[in-house]
Amino acid sequence: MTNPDIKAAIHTLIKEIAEDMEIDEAKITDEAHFITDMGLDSMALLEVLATMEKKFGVTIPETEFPNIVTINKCAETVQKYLDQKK
Amino acid sequence: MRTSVEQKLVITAMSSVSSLGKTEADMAASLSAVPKTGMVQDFGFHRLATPQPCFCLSDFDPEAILGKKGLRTKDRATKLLLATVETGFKDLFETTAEDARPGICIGSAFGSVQSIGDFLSDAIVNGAHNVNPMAFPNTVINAPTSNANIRYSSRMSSSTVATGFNAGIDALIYACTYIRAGHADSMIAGGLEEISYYWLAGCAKSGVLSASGTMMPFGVDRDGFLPGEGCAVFYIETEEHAAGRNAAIIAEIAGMCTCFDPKLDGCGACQAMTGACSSAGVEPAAIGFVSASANGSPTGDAVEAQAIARLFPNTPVAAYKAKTGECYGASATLSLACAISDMANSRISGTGAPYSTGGICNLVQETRHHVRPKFALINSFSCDGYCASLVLKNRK
Repeated sequence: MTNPDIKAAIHTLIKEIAEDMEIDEAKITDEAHFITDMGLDSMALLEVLATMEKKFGVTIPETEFPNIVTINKCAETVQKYLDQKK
Repeated sequence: MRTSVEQKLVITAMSSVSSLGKTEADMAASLSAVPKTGMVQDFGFHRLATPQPCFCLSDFDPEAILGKKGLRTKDRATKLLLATVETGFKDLFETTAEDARPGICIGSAFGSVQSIGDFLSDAIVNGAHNVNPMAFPNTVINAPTSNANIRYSSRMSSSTVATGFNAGIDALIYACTYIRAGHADSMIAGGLEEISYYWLAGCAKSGVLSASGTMMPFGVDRDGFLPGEGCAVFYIETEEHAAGRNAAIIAEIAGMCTCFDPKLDGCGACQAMTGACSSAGVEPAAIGFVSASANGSPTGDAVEAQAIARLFPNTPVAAYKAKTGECYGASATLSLACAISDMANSRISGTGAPYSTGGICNLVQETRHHVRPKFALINSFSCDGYCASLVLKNRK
């Protein structure tokens, strides 16, 4: 079960980035691929991960990065490392 | 392409964003008005203990000029440069083939110090693991220039000159040298400085800011300077290149010289001014007015005044910093823009509010009208002893 706050935080940040990059907000869905569907770049993804790490106090190893390709995957990963802290 | 040092280099377009405004019309109007200052205190990560009077751009709205795209993580210095280039050169870039677009060279004394300081503050306070990766590119001193290269698809050259107070004038000299060496037939060059918490803190501790909150270049009661910020950028090209595209010439960069004054006795200042005149092939008597580097510093202004009096005893002296503040790397280029504006309007702008100079030099305090100087000398003298001068020839 993923904390809805995590997904909401990711959505908020992705919307900010999308607005800056003039990406159609309709492309932002939980299952849309960050790069191939939404058109984000690798720097934007790094910002998403760094912001989530800071906001939720977790450390996500780099080996996870290739798997974090959608909002759902990102939220699940943050949740996974949040659970491990408990 | 001719590469001779004899090749004349001309300015065919300019743009500036400063406390004097965002357009040439703004600048012309502001130069004839009483200087306006504002206050700064908040800098995001840090806050000054008390508000600091300064010549800041309190109404600067980069989104109104540049649109929203791509600005979210750019720092203020980058936005200042982009807004200046967008205002003055967007059409030039859009009507020039990508492989022929001019390179860009910008001078800045403190460059990215605000971004560097904030990035380090974030790392120290929140831990290095928690820094924002998008804030990191702003810490590179060439970030504003390279962002301009990216935005306008300029492939020719991208460089930042960081020589302190004189960085702006040195960027112009770099661009001229680059053209004369045959690397390009045109360049965009200028100076850029944002007011930052870190250099304000340094200046405050050094005691160089005016305690009275006034800006009185060459004034008897001068007690330091007020900080300012801004950006001034020029399109420099060979006369031949300008003629080839039927561009109207605004002015000619007729001569330039840099020297160092290790003893701070004015010898380097004299050498720079003499060298610039010699480089332009004119006698000092031909200079219609001098744009001084004076900023209200008790010692610096005295040294410059003596040097000017020695070489230009009867020449009017303009002190544009009275209206822009001390903008460090942008100061000389803003003064150059002011001088061009004054030449175009057949005047020499005064300091605005009158104050006593004790006869230290021929400071223009009340604007002189109906004057048509053919040559102007622009000074940029640093407190460390580095001196640069440039001779501008009116071509309108």
